[in-house]
Amino acid sequence: MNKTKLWIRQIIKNKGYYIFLTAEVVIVLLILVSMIGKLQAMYATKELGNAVINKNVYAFSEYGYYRENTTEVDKCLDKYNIINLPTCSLTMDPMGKRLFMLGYSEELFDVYSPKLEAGEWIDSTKEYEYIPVIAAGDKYQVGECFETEDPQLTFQVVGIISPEEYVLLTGVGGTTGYASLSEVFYKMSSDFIVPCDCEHLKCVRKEQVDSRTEWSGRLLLLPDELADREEEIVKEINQYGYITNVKKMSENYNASNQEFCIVNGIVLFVFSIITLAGVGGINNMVELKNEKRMTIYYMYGFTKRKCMLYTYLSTIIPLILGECIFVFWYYHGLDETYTVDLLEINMFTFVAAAVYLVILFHITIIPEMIRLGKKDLFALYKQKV
Amino acid sequence: MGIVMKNIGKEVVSSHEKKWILQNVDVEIKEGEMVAIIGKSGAGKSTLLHIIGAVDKKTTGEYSIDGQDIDKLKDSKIAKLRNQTFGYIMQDFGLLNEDTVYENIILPYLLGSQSRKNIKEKAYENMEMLGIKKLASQKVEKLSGGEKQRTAIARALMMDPKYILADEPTGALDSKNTQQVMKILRDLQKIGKTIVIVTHDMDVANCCDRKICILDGQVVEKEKINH
Ligand SMILES: Nc1ncnc2c1ncn2[C@@H]1O[C@H](COP(=O)(O)OP(=O)(O)O)[C@@H](O)[C@H]1O
Ligand SMILES: [Mg+2]
Repeated sequence: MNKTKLWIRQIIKNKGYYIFLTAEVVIVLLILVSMIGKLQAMYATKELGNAVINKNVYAFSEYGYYRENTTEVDKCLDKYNIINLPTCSLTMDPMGKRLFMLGYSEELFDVYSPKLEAGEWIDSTKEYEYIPVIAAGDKYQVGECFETEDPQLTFQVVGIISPEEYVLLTGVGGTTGYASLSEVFYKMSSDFIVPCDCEHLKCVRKEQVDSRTEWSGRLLLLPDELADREEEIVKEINQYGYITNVKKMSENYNASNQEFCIVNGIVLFVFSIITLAGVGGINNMVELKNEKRMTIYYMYGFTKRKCMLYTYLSTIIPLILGECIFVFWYYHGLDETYTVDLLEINMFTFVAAAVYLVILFHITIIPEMIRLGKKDLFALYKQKV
Repeated sequence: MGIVMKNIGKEVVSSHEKKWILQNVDVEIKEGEMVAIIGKSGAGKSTLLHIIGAVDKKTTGEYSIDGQDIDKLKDSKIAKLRNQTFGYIMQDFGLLNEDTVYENIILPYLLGSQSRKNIKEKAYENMEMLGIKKLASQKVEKLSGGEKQRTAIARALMMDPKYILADEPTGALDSKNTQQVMKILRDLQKIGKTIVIVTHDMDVANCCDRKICILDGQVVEKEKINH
């Protein structure tokens, strides 16, 4: 107890250094977490662009004014036979259990096909016996059927998608020419992907569900025969809202990821060096001042082991504090304060970042400990005097 | 039982050369004695005291303290000896300059594992006795040599040690303060403490029961030292 008090008092006496290093630890953690999270997300989404099969698919969202007066927009789209590919969220309560579904329009199944874990993607030309669905996760198996109270609503699982997979969802869609894929791809958070309001496919209809949310953005498919007039048409649609080619978004996404990695890589490198230097500096500072202190502690009652432990703990404390602050922050809204698009912050990211810092700290601490361990503390005292 | 040393030697390396700074030292100090270790500067007095106090290690020989062979004690036991059995007054005071007088004085208590009551009272009692009570919250770096020395003495007495090992305890004091400190040490002897003083002040040495003379790292008869 007394020794702890003595230790804490010593830390408080040097609080400037400790606050500085703790802050640095938090910053490095933040950078690391965002880096690792980004890399994870990039890995998870590296094939997203390819999932959109057709190159002339555009993400589109109307300017505020046209959102209320869509007729003009629709007129323009109709003029060119442009196909609207809406997505929607559906909820229903068919068996006393709430189901969340992601509703896709018929044509969307032709231009888009995500990576599946099992089974196959819904084929708009095929005759299905029941409403085909893609289920998320391992709760269902391919071929499994389930009925609902409504005899028209019997589903059959035709494919399984990982709940970690990113799927197309016309959330905002092409806010600027620099829009990135992250605006139209989101993590699969529904139970099913299901055809909705289709002409040929067996599907769920608006009236059959408890609630339905249309997403504000849309995906547009330019017919192939208009390919040579594409530029001109896009320009015209641009009068009504933001429009970006999905392939272009994919390029933007990759470019912005690259930029992110370069910028953060540099920042991370710099901060790692600063942290190394900081830990080293603290070590030296604490050591120089504390080496004499340790020798005196030794002469008046500490064993050498205790002196080493004491020194070790004094050096490691900013790391522990910084990581504690970060964990606290992580559980209290770091997500909201620090959300980069498609950023994954999870336990893995945090642990990886924490381990990196632990290694960084020990690179400077261990040689110091070895040095101290070899020394005769009293000889050291005589040297200092 | 006291201190029994046989054939103690200490070898050091200075500028890449090995040399013996203590050789064939036999010393016996009985409990309750007040002994002076005298000799010229550089004779090896401090080194001997450091070995007695278990802060420095001997190279050869045998040393037993109160019947315990020091070579057979674990590190933690030796640390406990330094903390509780010996009260050490270093020649250079061995104080923590950035800490206050009070903090320095209670240090042995904080470093040890014994819990005691009235630690604060005890610290103030010691400071009062040595006339440094009003300096309690002063940083040591601001003190004069004499004040530092008295702080070091107050710290040595903190754990009520059985042995008081004092390396030139009056070196930084004027004659009035010297007398005062010697009186304190003699009073401590009266209540049963064993006191070992390294000094080259013959007046101080003459206050003691007995003198051990060191010359070039060896114990010699008193006559051989010409002061
Ligand atoms: N660690 C050491 N390395 C080299 N020489 C030392 C060391 N410790 C002491 N000495 C030398 O040993 C001699 C005795 O030192 P010391 O015991 O301090 O003498 P005293 O206290 O009698 O003046 C001195 O010459 C000193 O320089
Ligand atoms: Mg000396």
